[in-house]
Amino acid sequence: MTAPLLEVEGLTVHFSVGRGRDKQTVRAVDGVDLTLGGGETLGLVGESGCGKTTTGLAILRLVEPTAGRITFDGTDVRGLSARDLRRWRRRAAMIFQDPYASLDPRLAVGESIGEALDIHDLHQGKQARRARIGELLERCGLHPRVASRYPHEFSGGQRQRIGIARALACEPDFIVCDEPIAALDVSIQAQVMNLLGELQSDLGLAYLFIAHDLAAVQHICDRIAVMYLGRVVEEAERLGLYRSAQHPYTRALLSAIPIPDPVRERQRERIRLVGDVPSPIDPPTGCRFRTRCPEVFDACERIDPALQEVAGPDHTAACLLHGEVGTEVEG
Amino acid sequence: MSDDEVVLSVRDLEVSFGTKRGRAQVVRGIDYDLHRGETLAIVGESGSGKSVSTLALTKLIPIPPGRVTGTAHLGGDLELIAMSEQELSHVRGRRVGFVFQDPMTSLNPVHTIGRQLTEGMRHHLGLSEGDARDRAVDLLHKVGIPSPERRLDDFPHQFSGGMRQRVVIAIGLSCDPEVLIADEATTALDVTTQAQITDLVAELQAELGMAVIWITHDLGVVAGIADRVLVMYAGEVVEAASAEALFARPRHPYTIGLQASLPVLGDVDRHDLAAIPGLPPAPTALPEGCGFHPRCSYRDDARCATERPPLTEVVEGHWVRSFYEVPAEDAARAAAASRIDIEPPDARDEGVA
Repeated sequence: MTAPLLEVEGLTVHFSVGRGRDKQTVRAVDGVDLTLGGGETLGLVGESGCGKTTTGLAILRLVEPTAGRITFDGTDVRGLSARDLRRWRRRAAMIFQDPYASLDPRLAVGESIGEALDIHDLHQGKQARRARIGELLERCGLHPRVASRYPHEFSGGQRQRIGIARALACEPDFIVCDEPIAALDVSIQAQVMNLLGELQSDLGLAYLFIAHDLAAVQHICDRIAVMYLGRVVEEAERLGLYRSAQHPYTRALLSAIPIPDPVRERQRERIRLVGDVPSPIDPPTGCRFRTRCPEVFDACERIDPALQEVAGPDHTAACLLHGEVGTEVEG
Repeated sequence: MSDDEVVLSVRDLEVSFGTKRGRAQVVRGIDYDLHRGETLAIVGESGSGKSVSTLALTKLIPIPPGRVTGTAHLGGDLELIAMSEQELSHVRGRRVGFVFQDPMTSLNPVHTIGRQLTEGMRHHLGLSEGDARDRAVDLLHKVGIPSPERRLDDFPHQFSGGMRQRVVIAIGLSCDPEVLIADEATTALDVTTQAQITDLVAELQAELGMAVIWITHDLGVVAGIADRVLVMYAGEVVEAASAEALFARPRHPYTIGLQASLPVLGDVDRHDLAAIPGLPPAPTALPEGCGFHPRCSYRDDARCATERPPLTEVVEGHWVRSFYEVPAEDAARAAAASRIDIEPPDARDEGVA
């Protein structure tokens, strides 16, 4: 097996809130390990506040990690100087959820794309620049002519295509896609997902696909990692996760996703979770899911579970039901 | 779940707005009957007119530039569209309750939830402060908020998103409405919370017997809760049927396209999704003829581009607005149906060893 394109180990992002005596630490991401091969798609799913977006931002150092190691194609990303980081970012791009908020409203869309070319010095002369912008737009299913238009003149789906064209401008190997379809209408979501799939097979891109919609994630991803309260609780191959989810949180999540079929949807039994996600300022000791877990037992408070192999070699879960693997809680 | 008593009867409802680019026809004549205890889902994408069609019933849209025509009889006696603002203020919140998408914007951040919850009951039902408060405690209890007595004096920001939406539902139910309109009521919530809220509404509905209009873009939610479904596109109802019939045998090209374009959990195959090409039309630039024809992959009739197809009852209780009837053995339709047929694992048996 070749070395993975991206390896993340123990990624931690803590934020301070309040000041003086009220100062508290939000443990947004608290020890995340991920591995992504070239040309592969890894899905990162979880509910709001689980730290999935922060994980994506931290990998690109768009927020600075508090701890952990990020290795990209042999480069230690956290060790890069500001100058080298800028150069490295040519290889790693990002697509955001809200394409309206991520495009400058006062800049013609061609200029938004052109900026990326300018920063990385990727064109020779005005004409070549214009031609490249046109080519990128066309690649994403838009007419080159639209380069002179402004973001407000486009629909949500078209704006997302522009966001993708901009991400492609610097010819990256890796793109963090943060909820790229969440803000789009159903009939447009499929268009954008197909485009992402097509670009991947043509250009050999690797994606970290962050989303809360498990059905979409499962369609587009090779492997899926499930996050809860700053940690990865389970990771598996796309169908393995669906067919034999091992972590009680993953099972609850799967059972809550509505299926577009009234007969099945009404028959199936849901695992009901009680209560709300605890605050990342003061996560539960031991297993973080134990306060809502239907299968909680005494060890869950005592041991902080680590990811362990379950149901096959390519499937890991952090749950003590599979063996009491983890770190003993102090005190 | 429903019985024969019609609580809301809407006919020829049209809503338009005056804009700089001419009149925007947002709702172009819709009809439906809502029965007691029934859940009617209205599905469609942004701009299809699904929200406006219900907001317009009690004039929750600015008039002008909005204009509403048609009739809407509530409980057999009141005709809402012709009512004055004064008369409507006795209907809104009293006989028709609302739950909107974002609980953070539908709750007032500077008032306690107790005050927001009792306001309607005091105004509409004339309850004393003490009685309204007692009832508020009952309601919060009913929607599953722990220690309701204590939480009445909390402010919206002290609740989580799911809990806030429960408060909004409690407010919507506070005056025992005949009709509850839930407009994308779970869209802003996480799936596990969404499941809690849809279950809650179904339980309350069974207990209180109100009718619910559930507006959503999520076909999965529709499959779980709806008795009947209206599919809207470009301001029109393009298909209307029972939930079972709509999912088992969708008949309008748009509904079929929508189902085929959904990624399905557990789908083994990773082919491209059957996306519907193009974009929905803007209400100021509706196409001639059938509203869907520029994106329709079946269109084969010259009339599609010139004549507006009528909503026709194709089989009993199943209405379709299209000149083209998609045959049952159609490939795209079969593909959509077969993809949905993938057996899910039983959450119970493949349990953790």
